[in-house]
Amino acid sequence: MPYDFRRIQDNARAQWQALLDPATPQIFVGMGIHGLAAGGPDVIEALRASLKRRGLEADTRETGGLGLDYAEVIVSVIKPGAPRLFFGGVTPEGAERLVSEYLVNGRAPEDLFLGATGNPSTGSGHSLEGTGLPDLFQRPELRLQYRIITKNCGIIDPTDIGHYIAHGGYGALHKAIFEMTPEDIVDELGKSNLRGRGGAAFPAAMKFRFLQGAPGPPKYHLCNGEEGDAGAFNDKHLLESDPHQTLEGIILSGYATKAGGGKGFVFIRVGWDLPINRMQKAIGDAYAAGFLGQNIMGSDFTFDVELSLTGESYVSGEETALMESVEGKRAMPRYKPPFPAAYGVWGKPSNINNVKTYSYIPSIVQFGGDWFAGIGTERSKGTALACLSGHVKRPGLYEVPFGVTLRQVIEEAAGGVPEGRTLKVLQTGGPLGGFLPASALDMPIDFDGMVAAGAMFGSGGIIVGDDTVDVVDLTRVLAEFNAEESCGKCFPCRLGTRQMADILERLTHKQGTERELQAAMVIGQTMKSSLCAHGHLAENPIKSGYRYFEEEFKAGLKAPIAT
Amino acid sequence: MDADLRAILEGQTRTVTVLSSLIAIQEKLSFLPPAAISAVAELTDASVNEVYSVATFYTHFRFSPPGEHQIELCWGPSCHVLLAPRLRRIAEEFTGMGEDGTTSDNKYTLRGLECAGACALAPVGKVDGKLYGRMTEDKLKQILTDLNGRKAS
Repeated sequence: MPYDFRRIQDNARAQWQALLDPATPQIFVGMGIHGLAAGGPDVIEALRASLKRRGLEADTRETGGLGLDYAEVIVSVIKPGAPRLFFGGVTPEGAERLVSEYLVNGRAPEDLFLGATGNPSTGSGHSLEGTGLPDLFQRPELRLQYRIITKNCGIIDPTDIGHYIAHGGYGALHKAIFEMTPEDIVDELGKSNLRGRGGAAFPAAMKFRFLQGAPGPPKYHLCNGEEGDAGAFNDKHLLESDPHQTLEGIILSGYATKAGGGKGFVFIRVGWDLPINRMQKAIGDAYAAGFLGQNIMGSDFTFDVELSLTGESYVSGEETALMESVEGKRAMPRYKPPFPAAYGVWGKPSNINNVKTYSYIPSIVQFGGDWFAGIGTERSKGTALACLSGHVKRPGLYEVPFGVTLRQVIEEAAGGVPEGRTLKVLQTGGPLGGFLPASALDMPIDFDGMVAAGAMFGSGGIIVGDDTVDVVDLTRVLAEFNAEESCGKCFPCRLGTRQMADILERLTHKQGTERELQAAMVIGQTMKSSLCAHGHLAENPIKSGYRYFEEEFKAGLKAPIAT
Repeated sequence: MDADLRAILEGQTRTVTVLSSLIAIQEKLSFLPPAAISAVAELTDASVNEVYSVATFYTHFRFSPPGEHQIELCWGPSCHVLLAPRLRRIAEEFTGMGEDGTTSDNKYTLRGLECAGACALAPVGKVDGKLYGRMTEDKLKQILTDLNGRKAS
């Protein structure tokens, strides 16, 4: 029988529609890492126990994260004939109330209610019109967002390949294989100006062209989901909430770079169990559906993907160190050149891209490079996945177009710092990123402007600090992180990061000397001779901290500086 | 080679490397016994030195069994600004240890995490593998007290 993707799509859509218009209630429990940390498993247990006790029929399944992480555990419910209602801050007691008040008596508990979704014209369930129910996506956290790669997150069951297909999934792969050449795809990527999302912001199309022209098979794609960045959780979020999107991106990349007969590796840190388990399931289901392996979708394109685990090591997020880790060695960076596209993992041509970068590719193939390039700023195209944490009312994951200001995300969407306090400092871009003062709030989020200000967007972590934050002490924590995580290969980084941490330790105890402070400011220059970004960027916290909060650093000296 | 180790090593379903083999063993045994190093060397055709260098590089590998209860607290920047150091002090007082390690009676292992990945619900802690967001001093004391009925102060 010839391969019939249309039939697979039709079946998936019919199944999804049946879920939106069910005969028995459908319950979804937010089980991303934040749902887990908020007690998701206890909520699921409470729901099932309550349903059983009352003899009620309902299906309970897991979703990933909606991004409103502060409101986890988030539970959404579709009752027969009703739109989908979302509830937040659900505890086991709340779960009991959802059953007794909403399922049994039809009264949605107002204190838990977040909003509803439903629009028959887009195939997303019963209409909200005339129900008086507020639209979930009109909430301040969601209104500002442009959800490209998080659009399915918290909506679909990440372990059900049909849910992804019903939302357009694997349509880009079908289009690519049967309607486009590899060159066409890389041209679209070029038009899109997609830049790598792992922190370095390198143009993706250029990397793809290098690999396209390299000899093979085999050629390899490494999807970097190591995400050791303290304060960033968007890679984990995508892997645990919509793993098929990332996987489709990797398969498309294999096709686009003429890596047929080659292989992709999805690299995740040991211990990130939800992303690991969900990606493992996704890979297995993609094989079963004919989207991976021999003759994908009945074509002559063959490509494999395997999950690979790294031990705990921040530097293994660096692309050449990642290759060492895939080979099972210490995650220490290699010399460049040769670059990975010429000499990569096991000496074969390779591309390494971040989870987010791969995740954009299905949408770009589906809607075109021009569409993507129409979003964002002149030089930073598409969306930013900002991970907000710290002193902010609604911490979580916000997918916003580049060019939106920090203030819009932090104050408008996330509610600003809690009452009674004022915003003092932002720490962005992870431990190798930097600090920004409150006066930088009107800065647009982009790759280049934030770097010029001494911070960086990096992979998306934004830690908000109120006026209680001791900047010197926070710098010490970042310096300690960088010292612990220096892989030790290059001595300027190995010794320099430790010196910085030690000096900052003394500054926090008011035991620093002027000479040390000056030394800490120049150590970074020496560390730039290291092989990778860990050494190049480790000075960022103290440099930017000193730039904006000089007085606090000087207050850490034993004796006042004579001026 | 020890039959248990052989079963673990040969049961790997992904590409076999030194690292994958060490991860597989620790996953099953919760630490790397001395025999694990030579077993991995034998299987992967690496030297004992090479295996040991990988095992000592990645911070999650351990060479002695963990305590009966594991207390892990995140010290990353998001958790730090939300007063993770106070939680750490409570755990240190409870275990009587000033640094990461296992108590001499093998009852508790205390470990700092650089990032537990749930930064939006900082501060984050993990006790016996269960992840807790928005940890408070009282909540941690309660959890620790529940571990053995001894009250944490």
